[in-house]
Amino acid sequence: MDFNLEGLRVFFPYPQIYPEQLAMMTEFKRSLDARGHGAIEMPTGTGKTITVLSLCVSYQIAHPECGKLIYCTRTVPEMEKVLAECRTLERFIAARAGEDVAAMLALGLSSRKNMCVNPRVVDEGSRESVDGKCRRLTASWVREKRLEREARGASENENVEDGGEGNCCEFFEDFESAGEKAVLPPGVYTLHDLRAFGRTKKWCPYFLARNMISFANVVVYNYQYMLDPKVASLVSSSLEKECIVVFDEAHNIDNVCIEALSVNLRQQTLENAGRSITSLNTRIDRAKQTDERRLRQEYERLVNGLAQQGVLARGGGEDVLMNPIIPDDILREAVPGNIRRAEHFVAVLKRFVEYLNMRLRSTQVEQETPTAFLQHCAANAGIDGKTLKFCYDRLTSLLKTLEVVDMDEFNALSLVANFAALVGTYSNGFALILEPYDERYPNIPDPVLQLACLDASLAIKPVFERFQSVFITSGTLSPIDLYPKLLGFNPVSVRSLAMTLTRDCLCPMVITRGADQQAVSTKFDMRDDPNVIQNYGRILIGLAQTVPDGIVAFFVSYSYMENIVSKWHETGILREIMQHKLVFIETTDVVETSLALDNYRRACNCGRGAIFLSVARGKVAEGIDFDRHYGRAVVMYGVPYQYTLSRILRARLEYLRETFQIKESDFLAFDAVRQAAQCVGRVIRSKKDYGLMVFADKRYNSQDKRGKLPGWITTHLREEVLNLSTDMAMQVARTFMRSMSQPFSHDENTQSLLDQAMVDRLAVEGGWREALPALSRKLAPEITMHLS
Amino acid sequence: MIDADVDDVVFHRCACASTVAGAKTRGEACVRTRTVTWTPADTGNLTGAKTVTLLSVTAHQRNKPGSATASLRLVPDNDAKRALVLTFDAESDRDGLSDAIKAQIRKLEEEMKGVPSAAELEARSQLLKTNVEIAQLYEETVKAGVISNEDFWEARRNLFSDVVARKATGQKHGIENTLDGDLKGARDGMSDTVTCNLTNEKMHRIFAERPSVREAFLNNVPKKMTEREFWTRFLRSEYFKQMRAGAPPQGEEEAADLALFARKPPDATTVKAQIKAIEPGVNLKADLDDGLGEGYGLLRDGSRDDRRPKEAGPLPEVFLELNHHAAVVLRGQPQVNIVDARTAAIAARDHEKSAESARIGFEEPDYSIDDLAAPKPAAPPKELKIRDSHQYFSSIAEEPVVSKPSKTHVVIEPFKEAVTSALSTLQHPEKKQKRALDPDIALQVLKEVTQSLAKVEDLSAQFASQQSFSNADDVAAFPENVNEQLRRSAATGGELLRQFWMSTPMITSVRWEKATKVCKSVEILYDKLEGVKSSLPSAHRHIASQRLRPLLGAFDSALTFYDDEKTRRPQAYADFEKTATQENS
Repeated sequence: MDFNLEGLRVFFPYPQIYPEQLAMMTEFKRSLDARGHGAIEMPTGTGKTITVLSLCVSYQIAHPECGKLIYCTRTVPEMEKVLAECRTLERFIAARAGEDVAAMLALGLSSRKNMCVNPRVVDEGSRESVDGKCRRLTASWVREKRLEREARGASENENVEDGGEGNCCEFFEDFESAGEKAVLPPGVYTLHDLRAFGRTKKWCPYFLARNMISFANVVVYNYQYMLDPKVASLVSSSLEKECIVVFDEAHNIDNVCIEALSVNLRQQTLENAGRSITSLNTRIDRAKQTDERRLRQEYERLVNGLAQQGVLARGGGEDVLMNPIIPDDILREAVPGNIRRAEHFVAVLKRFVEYLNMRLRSTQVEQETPTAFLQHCAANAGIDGKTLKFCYDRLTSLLKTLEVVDMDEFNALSLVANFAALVGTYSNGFALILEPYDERYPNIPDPVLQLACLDASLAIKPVFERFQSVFITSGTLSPIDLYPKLLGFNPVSVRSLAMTLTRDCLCPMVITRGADQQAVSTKFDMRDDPNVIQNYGRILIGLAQTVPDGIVAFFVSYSYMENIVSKWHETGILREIMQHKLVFIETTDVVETSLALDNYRRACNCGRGAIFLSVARGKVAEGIDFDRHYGRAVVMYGVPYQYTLSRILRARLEYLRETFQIKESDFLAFDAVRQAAQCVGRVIRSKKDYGLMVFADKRYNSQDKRGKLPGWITTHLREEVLNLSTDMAMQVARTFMRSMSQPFSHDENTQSLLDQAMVDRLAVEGGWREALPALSRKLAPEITMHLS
Repeated sequence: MIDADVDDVVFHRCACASTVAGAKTRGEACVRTRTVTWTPADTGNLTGAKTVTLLSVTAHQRNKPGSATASLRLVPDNDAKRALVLTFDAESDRDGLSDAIKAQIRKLEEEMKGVPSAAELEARSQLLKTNVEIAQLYEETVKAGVISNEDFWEARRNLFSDVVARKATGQKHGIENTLDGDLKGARDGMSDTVTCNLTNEKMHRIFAERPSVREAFLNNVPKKMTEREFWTRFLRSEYFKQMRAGAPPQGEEEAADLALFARKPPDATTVKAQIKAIEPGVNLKADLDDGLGEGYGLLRDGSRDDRRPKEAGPLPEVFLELNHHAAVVLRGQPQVNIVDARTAAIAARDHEKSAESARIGFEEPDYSIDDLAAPKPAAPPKELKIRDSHQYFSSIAEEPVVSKPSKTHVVIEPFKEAVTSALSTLQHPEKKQKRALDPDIALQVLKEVTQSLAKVEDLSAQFASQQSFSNADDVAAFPENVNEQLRRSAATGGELLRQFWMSTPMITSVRWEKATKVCKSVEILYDKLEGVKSSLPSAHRHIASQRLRPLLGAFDSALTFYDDEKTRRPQAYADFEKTATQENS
């Protein structure tokens, strides 16, 4: 359908629309018109993604001056999903308004590891080694040298030490030689499509995609490409101000922001950094003998304060992570004198690493502010804050001057420089925490020095400042007024949408005790009680007997899941569960977990039925949907609190209390409940879908936990589904499953679904009778040129 | 088990006696469709009735003519205790019953052979499509009406029996969804022995669930250890593992076994293939690869605990097993016959591989919102048809099909090389390595082997010289069309000869009929070949006659045999002639 939304012609690729979707579009449109930001909570399973895409693409069509849509997702699977929906939309617009209007370029972007098509590179294994190998083949000085060699003639090629032809990436070369002609024709490209396109054209898909971002209409990528200054200034620096930025599934965005500016150093890292320093020294010596001119040039550049002007801007394949500092905070001044000479700088680095090593040897937990750290560092190692501040840029410049190709060898050193730059720049909103061992395994020495960012608003501030409209949206943003506070922005629209239902397709319930009337909880003093474990097991057995197809169970942590599953195994509960369904489990090995998910879906597809055991803050809870028959019931075992004794968490809570006056317990409860809501929200995709949501902990019964759940869940949490024992809960589940399995139709209640006629009537009632603006599409001129 | 409706038909009845509880009792024997029953004449005596299923009869004995009492003994299933012994008043009664039983058994057996199953029919047509030679032969023999369809395929059963065996087992069998497949064994309570029974199915379970055990089996049995030794070690290792409950193994042997059967992480290529096959909607690996490397972000921030230090000890075994186990159960049992441990291991391996390759080519995931989309037009109702009723029933009653071993080609060359190299090691004592055999004896054995090899070589050389079809320079000069004609005629001739010799000895009129038909075609083919030969120019005629000599010789001997058989088995021939003339009239 396409309809008039307050004067905007909106294309929506389905013949009907939910009222929530209409409301969300209205909010979006008003914010876009006002050129402001927004925070919108929309119930799960009401088609958020397609709503956002429809509205934004329609807005782009009506307003050619509007910039790109930058759609940020949490995970790669979500990215694939967004692009698939984008394709549906594109086809629909093409059918409705013609190919000219529909023509757009939408693409996903990911790391080299996920995009490379060069078999020699992509088979390298880990992400770092793929990056390293790629740089080794595509760095500009490597290519220059090769070209030189080729120019000198083939006769000398034979004594080339690293084997001439093997030392280049044909995909990158072809891409480079295609020059401006290397453009993607309009269309929607998932990562797979990009790889396929790259293979047929023999162009490197990674660099092609990076290049095409500036011409694209819709870009889908991970949060960090926008939030993390190290990556963002590399990838997203060319984006214009008029862009629409959407953070989907943004309930965890504060944590991502914090992660983006945090660094942790372990013993291993420092050892590697020490080795890199030695290697740097030898390289400097060699450079002095063979090519001193380059080092001198670098020195002169640094004296003139040119470090930031063009010299560090890198093209081609040698790009490394950029400065971890937010662009506004980077000093535009000359590098201090004591690190201008390469050997002096390396000596400083060496001293710093030694100092860090000394700190790591501490046997007790230490926590201090960056200011205290700098003072201590200045006193003990003689390195001041300003020197540290320039460390990262100085290192990048040095590596470039030395024409270092095997960048992956210097990962640890750049991590240290990263740390130095951050600690030298920021004095507020950060904490340094040194833990000599993991709290959970106090007997195993594993010292870690963490520089933790405590203020989520730091990383996202440039995004809000730079772009005209930024939206955060999710199924769980309750309480919604907290997010603008945490992230430090002023949205023009803040809205938590309610859910209209044809039937009660959600059945949340709170199980507080087992059939033996003993309370169940994952509270610290109760979680290892055999009775609690037994009762938790009984819940799953009961559900396995009652619920068809797929069931998902979320535990509060890996260690708790390990514990409870082995207890279930010992006591025979697992055997009983397995009489009804297959059991899959999330492990720390992502490949195994992915395979398990794949098999889980197969088992649900073929009717065998399966249970997936997962962790509330794990990868699966974050990025995998268990909609339709993949999840007819979801159990949340316990309240997924963070590990409250964690030093970082404590530091952050303290910061929140001092800065935003947020009570510690409030934040912890808020954080735990949003995770729980996120987990249970995975089971619904549409209003036709249905799912049972079991909160198995007595603490959910209290108003302060329950009240923090999003509105679309609390409206269904009536008295009769609270404070249940296992047997009563199974009774409710049976009734629910029976009523949901009846034939479904929307007819009885027209409030939950609007068709074209109703939407048109609404538009007329709203006074939007006049003709719609003409449709035009803004495609980048480069692409248009290429098309003709 | 016996269908009463079918079995009601009585083909033959005869008064006779049998022993009931040691006493001779008079009664009546009936031959029914599938059984022979004997009921005592005294209807009040219900205990005496005896039944023997016809198809289970393995021995059918009459006593000598002229004995005091004529008797008949039927033994079912080789079980002499259950034998049914009947005594008759007259020999003619006995013979009548006996003949009726034989006739009925024959009829049942014919029925059993019955129509070929759909799977077999499909395999046949597939073979005709793919194999040109067989298709030509089929055209010339069966289509020409010389050989019956069934005879033709019967002679080639080995070509498709495997395929049929795989397809004909209609139902997919599942695997019980339990983690520990009853491997603990049981103590008898008196001694220190633990007994554990292994069935083929259990072995397959073990091999499917524990790839490392499977690999160990395929690598070590029978080269390094016997099968019995393998299982003993495996079960003992399992038992100890459970008894120790996480404590370290005691003794080197136990540790070695534990290491041998321990779970091994899949190798890099497998993992790579697995990652490729994962549907992008659930690919968490890609997501991991999208993030920054180690060191960036927070490590111990209280929200995640997926970093488990190595020192914290291994995960409980159940964690490592669950996912793989569920995948195995989901896969079910393979559709091949498992007859021993080796087939079980191979079946488990192949099944795993095929399941993995079946993953590739995932379907496009569906992200649409189903209730917003316009309702899809209802698919037209599908006609319900049981495609293959024969397959369905046969899968229930079928005896296990033993797959025939495929013919092995004797490849002499590599074998010879091995022998010579072994010889050289033995002859040079400085190269001697560990050995279990006395070198002199070994040398002798080797010599014998080489001698017999030489013989085989000679034979094959002779054979090659006779097989002048493959002689290259002849073919060059020889006209291609004639060459092709000869080749085809030879193939047809071979098939005809095969069918002819299959019908010997010609003891029944049916066989005579077939032999006669085949002989007539042989004669026609003979004449045709002679005609071809004489029509050729002299140089070619010579080559042709050289080539055809063995075939024509074989024809000659077949025809001679046929004529001899007429005099050797006059009775059967007379029967055949009679029926033939009857049919003609």
